[in-house]
Amino acid sequence: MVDTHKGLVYNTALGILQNTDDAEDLAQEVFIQVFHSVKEFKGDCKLSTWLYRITLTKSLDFLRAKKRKKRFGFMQNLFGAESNEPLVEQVTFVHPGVQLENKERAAVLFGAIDKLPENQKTAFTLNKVEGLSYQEIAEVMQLSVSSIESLLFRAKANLQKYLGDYYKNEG
Amino acid sequence: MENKNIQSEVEKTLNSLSGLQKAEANAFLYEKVMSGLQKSEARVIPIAPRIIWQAAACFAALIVVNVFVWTKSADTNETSQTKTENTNPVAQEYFSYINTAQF
Repeated sequence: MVDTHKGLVYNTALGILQNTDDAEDLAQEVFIQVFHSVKEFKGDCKLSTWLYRITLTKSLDFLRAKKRKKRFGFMQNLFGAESNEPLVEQVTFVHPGVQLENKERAAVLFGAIDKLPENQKTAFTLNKVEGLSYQEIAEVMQLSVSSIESLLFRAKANLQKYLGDYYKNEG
Repeated sequence: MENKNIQSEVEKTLNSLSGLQKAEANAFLYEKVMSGLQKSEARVIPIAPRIIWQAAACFAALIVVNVFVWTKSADTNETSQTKTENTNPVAQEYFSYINTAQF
């Protein structure tokens, strides 16, 4: 099972977390959870859908915890406590599967995706990175297809705004 | 940068994920998962349900005994207080007698 689905879990986690080490650790955690809770899988959806759900939940929890930690580090710095972590983490993520000529643009796009609200980010990543159809995304996120269409429309509009601002400042 | 150029840059960037290949997961992920599973299993100490029930029964019995002792001790306090109240006039009379005898 690990060999069959490791690509699905790792790539989804990578799209959300935008960090190869974190995605690898998370993939490990996902399979451990799957092993412990496989009895709870009732078979009312595809195994891949169930795996996507677990991976997304864990990835978003991981991101929330990371943000909390960052805020706490900022507060510590504010009150004078010494912290080894930098205040502003400037990381440009380059997805290993991006074509060479698109690397620079994709890095900018991933930076913009990271600013999206959670559900828009999830829908956009599943659509563009994982290549899932609207119907499949709807099953994974347990929403209607029209909600997914609306989420993706808003995600694209937000990305256009972020990227527009980025290129205005660049120019 | 001109507005038209910005729009075209934005569109190009939005389409930069087309033809995205799947990233290769770690070849040793299975081994990592197995070692993680062993660690997580080592942390869980299996306890027989019979022992859990016995512990729960002992705990319940302890609570019952505690409540019983507490109510009993409350009763005893009340009776001892009444006894003290009854002996007070006698003690006062005794001490007043001693005081008058001395002076």
